[in-house]
Amino acid sequence: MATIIIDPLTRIEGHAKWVVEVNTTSGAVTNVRGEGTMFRGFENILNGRDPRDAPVITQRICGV
Amino acid sequence: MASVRSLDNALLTGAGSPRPGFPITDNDGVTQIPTNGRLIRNLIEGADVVMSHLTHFYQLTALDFVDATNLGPFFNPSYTANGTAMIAGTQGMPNGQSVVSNYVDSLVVRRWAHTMGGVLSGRQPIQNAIVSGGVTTVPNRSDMATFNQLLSNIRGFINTAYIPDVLTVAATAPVTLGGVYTTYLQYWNTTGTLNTLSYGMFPCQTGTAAEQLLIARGVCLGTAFQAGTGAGPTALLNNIFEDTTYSYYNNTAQLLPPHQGQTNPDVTKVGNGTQYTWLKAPRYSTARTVCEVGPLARMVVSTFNSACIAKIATQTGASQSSATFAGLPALYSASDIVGATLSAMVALTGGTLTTVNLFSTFGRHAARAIECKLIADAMATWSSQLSANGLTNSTYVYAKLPTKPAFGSGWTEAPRGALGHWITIEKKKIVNYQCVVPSTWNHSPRDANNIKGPAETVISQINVGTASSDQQVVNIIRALHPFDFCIACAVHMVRPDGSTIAKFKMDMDGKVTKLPHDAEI
Repeated sequence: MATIIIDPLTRIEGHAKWVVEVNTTSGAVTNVRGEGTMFRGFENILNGRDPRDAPVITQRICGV
Repeated sequence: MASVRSLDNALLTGAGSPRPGFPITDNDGVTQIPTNGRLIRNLIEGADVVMSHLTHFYQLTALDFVDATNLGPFFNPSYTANGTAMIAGTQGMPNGQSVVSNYVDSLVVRRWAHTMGGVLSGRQPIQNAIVSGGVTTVPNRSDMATFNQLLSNIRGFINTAYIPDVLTVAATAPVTLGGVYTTYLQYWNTTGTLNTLSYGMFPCQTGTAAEQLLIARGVCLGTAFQAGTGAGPTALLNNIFEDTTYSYYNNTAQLLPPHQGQTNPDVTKVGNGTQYTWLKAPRYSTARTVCEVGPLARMVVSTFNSACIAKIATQTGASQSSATFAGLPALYSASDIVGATLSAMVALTGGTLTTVNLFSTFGRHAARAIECKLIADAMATWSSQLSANGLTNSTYVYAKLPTKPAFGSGWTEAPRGALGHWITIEKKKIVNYQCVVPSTWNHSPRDANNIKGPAETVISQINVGTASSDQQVVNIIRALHPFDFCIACAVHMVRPDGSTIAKFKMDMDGKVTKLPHDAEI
């Protein structure tokens, strides 16, 4: 059994961490964990603001 | 766009404040937006999706499949060679060279798409013309001439470069993927959850509650792709929940609907051995059904749950290669894409394929590429409709801030999948705001039932090979990249004056401890 850690996973928008346990004899994946390592605080930033600020502040979330 | 649509619904429909059991109504503020506002929004959003799809394939994933070390402009290796490259990396191999050459050319095409968005929105990205009630730009004929010329160029690139390159890589894949996948069908066998969710996008009618969309809204479940709900947003949106069992949050319940959602970060859970991510786990219904989102999900939902699909005929591009698109009719809609993608892949490989086989590395890439074509072709139709409707017509209806408590949910599709925003307004201020974004669906962690997210499920299904750790890593990345994750929207919390908010200590094993405010660091 081998554990492959890809940290950071690159060529995505942002970074992530993937932990994959592999059976070294067969190559089969025996366990996997996809980790988001950064906190997204948009919800907390928006509380108490003018509602019309929301589209400007959130506009590039996930590319739109 | 989801944020604007949540405001549309809060400001234009007079929907009330959400309380436990309060239904989300089918009232859709977009129905009050003038035709030109709707069309210009579609054109701006379409330019963004086209830009994103091209960037994703060429800059972010194409070189997963090409040993580019001997191909211009990557001479004198800047891209590490490995034993698993699928297309032989010599100058004499035209297929690999085509992908690398188009990697460079696509940067120009990407700029064209940015320019198109900028022409109609004032600036790009972070457009400032899209506001609640419509758009604030009124393009003139010169603007539209610029837009149409760039669109024509981009449609040519999609037809003659992007789609052929995706199919070339797909057709080469089963032969030489590091010796792991010896047959064609094996290579396609990364099905994931098979459940798909799409909120739908690109409204194609003005002034009707029964929305007609270019890409359908709905859920499809299981190998039969059974429609989970009708086309109306009520049943769909009342079944969206977020589970935080394995996430670094300290919410009052593990499963909450977004309009009652909470985002209470708890750094003491980082490295505690149970929770492992900042991403929540969005799930469909209280049964916590895991759903894949993105271009493939949109195409599957459009095919198998097409009650709200637009009936507009979409003209194919003049430069379309008929050989590439044997399965695509001259006039087509999103519901034709699954069949066309299967036909194209069968024509290239001679394999026997069904829709289940599209849930794979190349099914996801192919669905994105052919969706890119669908949207670019539809944009030509919308541009014609805009000019025919009269460029000087109204693009905007005034949306007044409500004095009473108001609530809105906005749903659309980002390039990489279903995107929803939920806003609650009291005394003209935001009192709760929750975003449920596509990459939290696809990159989601386990939930209270210990069920993996869609990408985790895919990785658990693949065989990564045994030749070398390099090969294993590349194979994992090849299966992950098709989801086009976007988790860059991690915003650090700062105060304008730069003062300290809190101090934390992280051990080598990742365990986080909160320190007193006056602690020395």
